[in-house]
Amino acid sequence: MADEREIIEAVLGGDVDRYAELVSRYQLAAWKLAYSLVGNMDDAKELSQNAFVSAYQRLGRFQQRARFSTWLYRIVVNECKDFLRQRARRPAVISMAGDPDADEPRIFEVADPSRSPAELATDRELAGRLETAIRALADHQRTAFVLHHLNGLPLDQVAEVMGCRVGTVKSHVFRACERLRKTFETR
Amino acid sequence: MNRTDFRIWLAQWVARHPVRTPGQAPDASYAEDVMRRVKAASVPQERPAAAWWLRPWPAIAVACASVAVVASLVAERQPVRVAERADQDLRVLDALGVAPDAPEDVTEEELRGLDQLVLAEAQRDADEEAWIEQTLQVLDGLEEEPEALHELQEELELLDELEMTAGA
Repeated sequence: MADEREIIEAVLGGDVDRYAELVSRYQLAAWKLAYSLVGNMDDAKELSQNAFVSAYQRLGRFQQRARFSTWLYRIVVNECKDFLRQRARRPAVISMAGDPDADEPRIFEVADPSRSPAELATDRELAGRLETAIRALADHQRTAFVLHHLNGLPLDQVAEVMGCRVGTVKSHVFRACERLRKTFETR
Repeated sequence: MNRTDFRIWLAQWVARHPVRTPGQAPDASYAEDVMRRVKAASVPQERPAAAWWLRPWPAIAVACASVAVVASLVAERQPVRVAERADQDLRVLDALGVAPDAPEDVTEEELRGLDQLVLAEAQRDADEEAWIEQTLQVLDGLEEEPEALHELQEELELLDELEMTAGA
């Protein structure tokens, strides 16, 4: 696998086709990240693609102090934030309790045959409540929670993506978890 | 649902979440679409060459020189200010007819000790300031006033616990 730095230098040197290597390397992660923030597959696809195009146009300004993926994720998050702001609506989190995009191809299909029907019913009910609670979180808490817990980014990378300190990210994530727990307590 | 049950359930929910599970790569049309748009987009601007004074070694040299100049200016000005102030005080005391006590009973060693004490106090103040600033930054991030700082510490410890639960 070619080194990212080498690919970026080649693209900047005029070999545009090599950008496809970066797209292929991060397309699934970028799509999933956008999906976890906006909750709609079509929107997520378009936003993640926009992020790739935007990253290409700004590639000359990428200093390579951080990983390309971190830089790209930051662009994806900003694209999603702009999108949500423009649409003036609360973001949805992917539903496990009934797919709102049932007609679409489900590339993120999850299968858990080990769960009994009763357990699945409980999961659906709790998941629905949790998703509502996640939507109600403050923007920075939701972003930190989604990036860390759902997308599996380590805290230091979340801090880079969000442009804040690791301690701040920890606080956001913990506050998010506490708010979600309190939501369950009060019901 | 108590805290422990919630943590276990949340960890399971996260682990089963579709975004966390390995997925198939998007079909070829995804990358083709991106590349079509990339080729139609403007060529990325070349990284501007850093000015010579922004390159690592010149930047370090310039920074060191600046620090040295500032330090020497401060070092020069400080005694002058103190000396001017002492002269003024002496003139005032002289005008009032009050003779200041000459510090004959203070030895040079005691003066050195006092200097060290002043330096130690200054160092502690600087650390405290930095500590307060860091704490305020964390509190800014919380966007809420915690009841006490130990609550913050407790929360961070609980977060680590949750991480371990999620990772298990």
